[in-house]
Amino acid sequence: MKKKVALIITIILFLTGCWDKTEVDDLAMVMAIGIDLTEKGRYEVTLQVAKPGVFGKGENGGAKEDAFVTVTNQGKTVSDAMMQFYATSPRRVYLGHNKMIIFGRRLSEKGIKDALDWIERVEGLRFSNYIFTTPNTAKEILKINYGIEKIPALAIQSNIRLRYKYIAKFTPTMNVFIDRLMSHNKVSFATNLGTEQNNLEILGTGIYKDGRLIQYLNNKQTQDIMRIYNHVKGGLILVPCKNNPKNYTSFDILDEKTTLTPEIKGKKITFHLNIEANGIIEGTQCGEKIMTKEKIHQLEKGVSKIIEKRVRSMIHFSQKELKTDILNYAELIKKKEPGEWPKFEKNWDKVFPTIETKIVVKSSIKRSSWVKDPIPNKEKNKR
Amino acid sequence: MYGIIHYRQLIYLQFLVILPTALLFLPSLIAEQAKQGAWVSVLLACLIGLITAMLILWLDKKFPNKNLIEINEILFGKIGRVVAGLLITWTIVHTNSVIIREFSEFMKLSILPQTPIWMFVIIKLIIVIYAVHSGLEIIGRMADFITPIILLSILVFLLFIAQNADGLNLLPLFGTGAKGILKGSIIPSTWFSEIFLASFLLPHIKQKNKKTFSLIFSMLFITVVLLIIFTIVMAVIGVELTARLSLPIFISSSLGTTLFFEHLDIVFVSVWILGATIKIIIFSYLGIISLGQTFKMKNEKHLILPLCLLMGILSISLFSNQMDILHYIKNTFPYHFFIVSLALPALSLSVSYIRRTK
Repeated sequence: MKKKVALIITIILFLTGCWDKTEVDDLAMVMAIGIDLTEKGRYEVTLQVAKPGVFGKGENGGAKEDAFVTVTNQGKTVSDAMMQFYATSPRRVYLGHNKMIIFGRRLSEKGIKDALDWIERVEGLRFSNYIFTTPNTAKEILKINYGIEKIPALAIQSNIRLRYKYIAKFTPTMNVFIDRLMSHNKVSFATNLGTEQNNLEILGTGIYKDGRLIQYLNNKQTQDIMRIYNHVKGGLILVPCKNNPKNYTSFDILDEKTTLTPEIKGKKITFHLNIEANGIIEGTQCGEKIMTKEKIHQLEKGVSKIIEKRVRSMIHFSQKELKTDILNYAELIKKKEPGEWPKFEKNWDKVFPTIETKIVVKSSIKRSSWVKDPIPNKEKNKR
Repeated sequence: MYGIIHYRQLIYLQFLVILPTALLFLPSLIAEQAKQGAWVSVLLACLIGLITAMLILWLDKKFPNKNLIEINEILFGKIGRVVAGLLITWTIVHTNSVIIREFSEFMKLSILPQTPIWMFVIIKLIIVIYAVHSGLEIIGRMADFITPIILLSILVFLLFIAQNADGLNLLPLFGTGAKGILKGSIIPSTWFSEIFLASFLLPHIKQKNKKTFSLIFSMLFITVVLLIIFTIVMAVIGVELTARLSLPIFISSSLGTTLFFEHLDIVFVSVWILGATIKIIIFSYLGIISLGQTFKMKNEKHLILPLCLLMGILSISLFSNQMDILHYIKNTFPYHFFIVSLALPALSLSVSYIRRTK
């Protein structure tokens, strides 16, 4: 009897549930957060919230309706702006499923550190969020319906993950973004999102220095900078033909590996950049046989030359034009030559532009895909 | 209350005594001091743990089947027993209150922010009272059941996050140098020296010849597991971030995303709760046992309720906020704990040699 009473009391105690019980239909699932700065210097937060009701409808489910809503509020700080959502939303604003954070241009130029602090601290937001920047306002970006997926944030996320696999790992998650900001050079990258004719477009990369946006890079430059970081997974290189420079052979990189090692002699720093690129031929316009030893060798050389040229111009850009260590050289010396680092730490800004980089690119064509040679050009043979 | 346990269960119990709370604030506190040299700090801490284990084993050889309080009675008489007993009891009870608070704090921070602290404490203590009532054998069997689950899920968790690992984050290998490494090793040493609690478990082990093996093995096993976890977590999120975050391992668990599985942090929490529960149970059990031994009580079961209440109240009232806990763990806890875990066994051992007691 005693035991039964104890059991009943225990069950009653736990049946009431916890303070934190949440029903799925009580939540407003935030899929993306955009943070802007208005002209008056107030924070403007835009949330892209999924509309769960629309999900269930089939193909014939009545009128076409967006599966998401965007809501915007302003405040003195980011949390102040968020507070307005809590005050007006019929559902609990839930950040646990948030996929990405977008910083608007004005905020980026003024500095994102304050906003970042909120992002780190806020309850429910995970560190696996992707960080984006945009030359427009984040509000504009979040309003676009991407079409193929019901929720734009999910579409962008899938796209980024595909790029991770096939192009380059260049969109940072929150932890990578913050970790880079805390390195010696304080340089971090965020993927640049733009709009084109009401469609989303990835424009390249925005470079942050100490939390401030200093430069945009286009997609090609992004590929090059990520090459130095050893994050490139693939990509296309067009090698001009010998007989006609307007025609190209396409070389598709399947995997690439970069090693970057500092070498210090006295006060002189030299970096050795070794790139190994493997790939296949994905088509040639040259109209001649390519499966000979010399031709393959020639092509490999051509690919290496192009990669080297692109990387060299990137390094030049960083050292001479931007004069900012976006190549992560400081961290590499700090990590790989910790004994030498104190010598350069103080006047790193002066040392950095004088560093010489020796680049060795080795590319190899592993296979030529399903055919060996292109279809022979009959007319040419007649002559 | 008492019972006989298998030596495998002893290993599991030691594993669960040290591991769960080591996964919370510890990596961040080590990384703060030692930076990339954290692995050396952990190894140094393991050395302290091995020394503690040696002391306990040595004492056990000299006084077979006697625990630390009984040994002190033989050496110093009644006063020795009461003083040592109270010291040990207080340390265990106080540490357990800190553990309960850490547990509740972690739950509040990670998944249940609205639930008040005392709710976690009460729910935990209900389980503790039930488990301690059932006795050592039941606790051993619980450990038998839970440890494989924990090990397996740690493995899965590591496999998931390891894809994001970057070896560069671990360089330079020795971080900021010897000073930082030494400073960083003090706090984990406290965790490792918790192995002195084995003094109370060794008399109840079935395979008497496996005592040395089980203590040394569990020590090395824990070190390896912690080293692997810390190294991978630091490689994934970077040392600077590890030092800045309050709960680095929990945060990094959410990074293990593939196309199908996301948000694995919740799995981590639920598995972690299992381990923490056992840890709290063992500490409570040993606190009650040692208080009973101090006053030679015939039936320690009467102590369960009051002592659990005390621990519950202490855990809520000891600290006012998270900073307090961190400050305590950093600055007071090691020295407080070493008195009992290292100094007391060492003192007993040396006195026993001086007085040539048998």
